[in-house]
Amino acid sequence: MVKNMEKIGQFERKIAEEEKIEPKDWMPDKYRSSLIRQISQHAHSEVVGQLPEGNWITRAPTLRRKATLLAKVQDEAGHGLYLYSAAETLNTSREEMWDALLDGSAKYASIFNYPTPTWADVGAIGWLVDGAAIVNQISLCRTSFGPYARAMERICREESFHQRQGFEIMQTLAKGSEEQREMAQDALNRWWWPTLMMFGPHDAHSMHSQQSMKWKIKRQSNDELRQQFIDQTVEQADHIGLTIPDEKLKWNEERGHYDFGEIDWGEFERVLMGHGPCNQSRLQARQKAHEKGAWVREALSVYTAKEKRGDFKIMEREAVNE
Amino acid sequence: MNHLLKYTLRLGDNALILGQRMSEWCGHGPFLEEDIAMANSALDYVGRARLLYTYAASIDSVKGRDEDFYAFRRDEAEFENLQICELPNGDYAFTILRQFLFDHYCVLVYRALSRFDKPSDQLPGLAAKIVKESSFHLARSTKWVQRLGLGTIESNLRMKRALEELWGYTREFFDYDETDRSMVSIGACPEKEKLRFDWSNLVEKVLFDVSLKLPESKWEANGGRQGVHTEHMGKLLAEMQVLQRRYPSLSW
Amino acid sequence: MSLEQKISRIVSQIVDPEIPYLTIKELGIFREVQQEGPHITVVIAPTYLACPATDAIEEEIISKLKDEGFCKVDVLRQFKPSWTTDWITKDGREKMRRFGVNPPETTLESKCGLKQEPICPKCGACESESLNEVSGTVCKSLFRCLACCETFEHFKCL
Repeated sequence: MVKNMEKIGQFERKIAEEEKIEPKDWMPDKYRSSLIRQISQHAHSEVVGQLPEGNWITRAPTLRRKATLLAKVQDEAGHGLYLYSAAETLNTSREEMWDALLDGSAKYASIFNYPTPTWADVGAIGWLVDGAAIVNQISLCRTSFGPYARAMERICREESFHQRQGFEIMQTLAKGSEEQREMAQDALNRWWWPTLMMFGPHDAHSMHSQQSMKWKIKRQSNDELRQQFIDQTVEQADHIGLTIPDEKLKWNEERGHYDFGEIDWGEFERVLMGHGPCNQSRLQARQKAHEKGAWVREALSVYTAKEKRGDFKIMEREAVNE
Repeated sequence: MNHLLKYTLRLGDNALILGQRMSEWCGHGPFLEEDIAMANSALDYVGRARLLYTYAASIDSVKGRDEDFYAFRRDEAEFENLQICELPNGDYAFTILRQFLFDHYCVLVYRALSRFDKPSDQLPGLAAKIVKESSFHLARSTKWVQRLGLGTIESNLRMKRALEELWGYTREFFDYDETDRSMVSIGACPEKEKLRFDWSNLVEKVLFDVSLKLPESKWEANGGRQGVHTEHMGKLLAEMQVLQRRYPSLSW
Repeated sequence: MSLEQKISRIVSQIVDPEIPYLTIKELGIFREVQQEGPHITVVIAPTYLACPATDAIEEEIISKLKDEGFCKVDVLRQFKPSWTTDWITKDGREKMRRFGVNPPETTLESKCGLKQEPICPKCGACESESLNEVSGTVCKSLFRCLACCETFEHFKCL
């Protein structure tokens, strides 16, 4: 009992003094499970996020755009791998996390439950969705769990390039033909509000926020981060001549921020509960890939076991003797 | 007839069309590490195509062309890729084996191109770099051929089926025409029988080691170099070229 | 300062957009400046042929030099001699370590089988397990330190 109190004391002191908690440190069970939930959710988001963008790789309108999109999707998959690895240091396994994704019990960023019907959606995802992710991730660079904080620093650096590429796509379309301008504006109209929802519910309604803030897993509130994103993005939209689809958007001199309209929380709930346009197809795509790939994984596992046993060395020796 | 231009475009077409096929795997691989590997392979092929097309544009007598012209504004009969590149991906065994068979061909062909004596020309240097980077891919696909060939009964059977389907298409590697012969004469392309010998030696040893017998079918693909394709090519191009066809002459 | 030196100084400070803590000089991408009358050619060696950063780097070179009044500028991609990780400067390697990436061994070490185990950039231990040959980008692979559990990237020798 006394030993436990000491451990809790040490843990809380580290949090208070902004010292990082590392995988081999003692941590409360709830801290561990919160982190597993958050990090694996982040990893799942990177992995599912390949699908809406991957939808346009084969139809990218130039070779440069095709190459850039391929590199981006590869990068995101790499981020997923890195995050799964960080989560594994908390005593969970890839299989557990992956099973939870496939059976629908684990969440991923709801934003990826929206479709990408046009090329401009690829630009919108890079500009807005990656832009929002960066705002969130910059804040997470100060998160208390060391491996997650360091992962965020790395990922932020790489995603800045992605955001720039997305913005360039939108910029090119916005100064293109009338059809291209309409395509860009239409994509902005469809992605703006769901992107704002990425920051989660208002702080007062956020279930996990309070404890996460106490343990410094979370460093800034949902509303703070959302405001930061809006402030920086409105100016970017102005710069390329596109209009944010919010009639209530207005600079508030007193607050020093943009005022904006109310989010449709009903839509947020619906998509979160699985009723968004692509919830079913995203999950089914990953389930199908997993099922179709079962024989590949089995072959790899059996081959690796044979290799460890030295079966192939015996075969080589026999071949030489023959 | 500008044989160097034609030859370079063929290499670019092979790379682009196979890159297009490989990119279809993104997000649908058997596990995450392979999603990454496939995206990376696809990216390498597309990157290779870009540089080859850019080189081609620099020696094309029709000025003003660029990589996107060759990729998006030519019709099916103008693409001169090997048919093996345009085949649909099939299962993982098919995809891996196709890459293995094709990459061995690439290394031999690009190695010859890298020794082509054309001072102050970019092509030999580009070819040398392609050989260097291809060695990573070859190491990977060889490892997978071993894993799938010697893994389970099911994986071996799938590899056997894949080999039966692909073998006839590999015959096209050695179906030389006037352009290839012209390139052989200037030392930029391996002589046909040497290519067949070297390729067969490298490939057959690995296949033998993983208990895959060479198919007996005598069917051989041909026509790719003359712009004659399988029925898959039209659909591949329809998808790839859709935006540029729908909205011609725009910047993206 | 000669014109070539002036241009070199400007170009040397351009960062790689995929690895923004390294300049193209530190990465060994920027090779030299060639001048022929009023015409300037900046020579770069692409790391990997498909690397999307190369296009962005070219544009940045032209844009930065235009801002400084140099308008007749071309960028030439050099394939021979081909870029090698041996060209990454000592400063570049140090920065990699600071930013949590294990720098590559030299090509000589690699050829002679003197390849060292990747060193964990966090705790300095030499004991790690390979997680994947290719990380998010082709130039790096992924490892996990067996001493402190840190996941880190290793820049592969080319």
